[in-house]
Amino acid sequence: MSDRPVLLLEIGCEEIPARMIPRAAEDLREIVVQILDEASLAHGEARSWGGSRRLTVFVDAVEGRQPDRDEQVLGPPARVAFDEAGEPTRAAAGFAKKQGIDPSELDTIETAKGPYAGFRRSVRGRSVGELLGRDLPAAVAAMSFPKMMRWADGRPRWVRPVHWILALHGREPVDLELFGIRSGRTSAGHRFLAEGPVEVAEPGAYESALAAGSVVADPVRRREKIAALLEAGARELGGSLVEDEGLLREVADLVELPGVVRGSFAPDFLSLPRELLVTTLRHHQKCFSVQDEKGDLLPGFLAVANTDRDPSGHIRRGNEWVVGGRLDDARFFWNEDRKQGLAERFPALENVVFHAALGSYADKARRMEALAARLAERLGMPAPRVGQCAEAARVAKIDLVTGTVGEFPELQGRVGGLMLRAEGRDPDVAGAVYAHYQPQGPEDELPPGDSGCVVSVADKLDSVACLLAAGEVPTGSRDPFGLRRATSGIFRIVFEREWPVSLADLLDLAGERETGAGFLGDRLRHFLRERGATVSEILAVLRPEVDAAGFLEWQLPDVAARLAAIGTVRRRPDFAHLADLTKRVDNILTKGREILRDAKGGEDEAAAWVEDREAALALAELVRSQSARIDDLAAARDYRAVVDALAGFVDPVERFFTDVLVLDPEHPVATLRRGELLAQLKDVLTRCFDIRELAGEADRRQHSG
Amino acid sequence: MNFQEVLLGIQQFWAGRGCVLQQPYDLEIGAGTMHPDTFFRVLGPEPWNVAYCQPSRRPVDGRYAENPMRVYKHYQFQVILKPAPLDVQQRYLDSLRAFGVDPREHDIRFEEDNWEAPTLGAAGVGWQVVMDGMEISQFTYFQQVGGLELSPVSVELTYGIERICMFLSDIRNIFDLPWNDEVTYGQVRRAEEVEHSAYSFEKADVGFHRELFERWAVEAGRLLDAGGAGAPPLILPAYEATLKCSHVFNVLDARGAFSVTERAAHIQRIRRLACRCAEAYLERRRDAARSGEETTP
Repeated sequence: MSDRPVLLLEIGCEEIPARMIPRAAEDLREIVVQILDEASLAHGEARSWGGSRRLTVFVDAVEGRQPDRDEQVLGPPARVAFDEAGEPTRAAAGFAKKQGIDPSELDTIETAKGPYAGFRRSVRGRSVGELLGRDLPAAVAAMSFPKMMRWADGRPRWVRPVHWILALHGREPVDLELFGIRSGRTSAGHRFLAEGPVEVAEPGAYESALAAGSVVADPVRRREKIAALLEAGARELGGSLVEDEGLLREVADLVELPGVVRGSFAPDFLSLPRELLVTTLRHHQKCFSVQDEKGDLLPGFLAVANTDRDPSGHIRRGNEWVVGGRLDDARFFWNEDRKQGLAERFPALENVVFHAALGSYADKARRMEALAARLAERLGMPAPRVGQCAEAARVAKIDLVTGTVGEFPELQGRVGGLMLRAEGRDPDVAGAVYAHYQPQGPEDELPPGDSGCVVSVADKLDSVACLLAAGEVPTGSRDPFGLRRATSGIFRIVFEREWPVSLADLLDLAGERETGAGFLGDRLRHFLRERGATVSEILAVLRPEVDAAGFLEWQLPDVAARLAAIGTVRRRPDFAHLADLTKRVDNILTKGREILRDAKGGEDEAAAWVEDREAALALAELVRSQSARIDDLAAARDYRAVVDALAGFVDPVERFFTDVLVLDPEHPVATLRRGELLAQLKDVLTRCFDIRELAGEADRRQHSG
Repeated sequence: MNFQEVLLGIQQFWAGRGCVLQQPYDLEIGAGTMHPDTFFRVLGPEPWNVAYCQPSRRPVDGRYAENPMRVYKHYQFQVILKPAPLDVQQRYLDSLRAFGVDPREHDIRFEEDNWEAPTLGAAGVGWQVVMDGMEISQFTYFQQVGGLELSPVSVELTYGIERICMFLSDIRNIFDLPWNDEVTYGQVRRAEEVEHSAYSFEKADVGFHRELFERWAVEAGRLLDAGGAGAPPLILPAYEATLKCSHVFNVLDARGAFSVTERAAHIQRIRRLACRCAEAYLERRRDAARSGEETTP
């Protein structure tokens, strides 16, 4: 254990948007660590806490001061600096004056470039306070947030106005100034519940001092406390919590002293669709829903407050009132929307622009309908199912013109599906519309049925292909139409449902073969990477050299099967060796090209030549027998068996290289025949995968990791 | 506290803290921000503190007096402090105490809400102030108005007077609020709500309003162009014509008269006029400053 003190920095400000807090806390931690590291100040672990009014960084065991050190300062070359008598020249005097020393203090110092005039001086190390005071303000001012603001005279610019800075190194205050605010040892507690300012004697007392000021400073503790209170609250309402991890994170960063207030609403609202209730509570009021053991909602909710008390019941009554009003609104929109059948409102989509160059959502819906039908047919679905897919695709976007989606945009698709269900329409069509935005991310579920998956892909594929053709190619961090996410969604469905389609099929279905190929190819590699494949494995399967984008024509489940098989190779040490051996085969074939060319000619002689090396005979036999077998296995897509078969080559190939000299200028015929064997060997080894890519895989993984 | 007591209380509070107590602007406008004493006064360097109540019309929010909370017209109380004092959050909370709100008995939160008024070329950063789950105020550091970056930065505090009053008196229907001890809000305002809702949603003549929009827009442009012919632009009349466009636009919007692109084009047109007004105002202020005239009290 070091007895070096802990460094504590807290920046106090007006309420930071909850969504920005975790990132900001992490950024501040990195800034402090970087300043310490650049100054070579030893320190221990650094951690940070974020809250609505404060960002806090702790660094353990921080050295108080840089060591003093000797420094050599070089001036002009000695021949310029000293005259023949060895006296300093005017040049030397000028240098000395600039450095603040007497010319007599200059010595001659030998360097690699020859003798120079110079001197040594001792440099005092800076204290942690000096370093932070010097470097922190600019670094903090340069922090970036998704949305920034200016205040006061318009010059300071940060996420919100800064009000106090607490900076301590152990018990010592660290003096610095940020946005015109000087640091001290005083923090602030809860906005309403704290009794006066919070004095912090030393970093170890920070958490308890704030607790006394009614602030739970550690975000993990806040979250745990809220989670426990929610669970207890749900029990008291007679049910269990409808979990919502995202909402929990958000509310934990909205409050400093969390409390949970129980409320109820009129039971007749329970006739509304569950999604609408949960979303109304969550979206507008950041409230949690409660359900019974059957999973039906209860007429109650849990609100997270920035106080652990509600002495007059204001908080409960206020929330109940507002929740009631919101549910009233939701019911109003839902009932209004249902006055007309969903499908009848199709003409209203003509007025909703999808993209200036691509027309309205009605145009998009017509494209989706045709695309969904083609896709369903391509997948061999029976005619009635094809019809369901087409119908669902045609009506999937109509809910964009409903009041309910206007109020709750995140319920797109859901509302359409719920309306169709309420109208008593085909449940398969309703279900497909309901889920067609899924999957929204790598964690999200796929639409449950065939039709939902078809409509989802039709929607995304239409957007990707048409928007790319319209020139909306995502660049860097700019992807305003979410085309990358849409493409990942397409791949997830195709891979997980094992649809027998290729990238080329998808592009043909969307009628945009020209523009989309490069983008889809890139996204496919990215997608495979995200699913855990290494760059080498992807190269080995997609074989850019062998096939030059030929994989566009490959069925995607086949790509997946090959990748899964090649993925097993990682755990097989024999395979790394095989990859190296294959590269060696390659090298010999390249190097031996001249010898092999020269060796040609003596056809009869070659025909008469008989291999006598046992290792070569064994290898030739193996190549012959495995060649046909690997073809059969590949046809059956049993790529794991292919991998096993390939592994069987390790020993014979190794023995061959040990026992047999392939490139033998003395024996051109033997060279020719053995070269032919190696060419066949290479063909067999690389028929399903380009295993050469896996050579040195272990190294590469370290680099990319 | 009844409605007029709340209104008197908040006026008293801010008048006592150095604000010019202004009166509502006498045109149909949708928010206190559109009052020239906000729109123009936040431009340029002169300090300015003002408070006023602005009846604000939002045709799409009309509910025929049938919704307990949404109305065609509501009373916004607006405060501008320029430059924004560093303790402005504290001052705001003190103003709530003036209504008898003890923050220790409530859950008051500042939740991110970045206000934007596209028709005014205005944008700010700030919060909605949420009390016990209810949004009671908008708290905005103005960053831009009329398309111009602001420096110094003004803060705008906007109170929904009806909501605060409902909260304080535990009354759940806006029309049941006591206006004073004898008359309710409903008695004062119900007919206006019913008729204007009907007008905005059903009866407003779309052709007539389109024509009004066009003519007010042309008028605003003409008044701004006056400067080109050697005469100075008539900035305030041009701005009023722009506000007319804005209200007419809101009526047309409530009537569902616009397609998406048409709607965006109209917003754009109002915005351009508002930005030109702001630019002309700053230009004139600079000229005045050069000739040593006094521009602000």
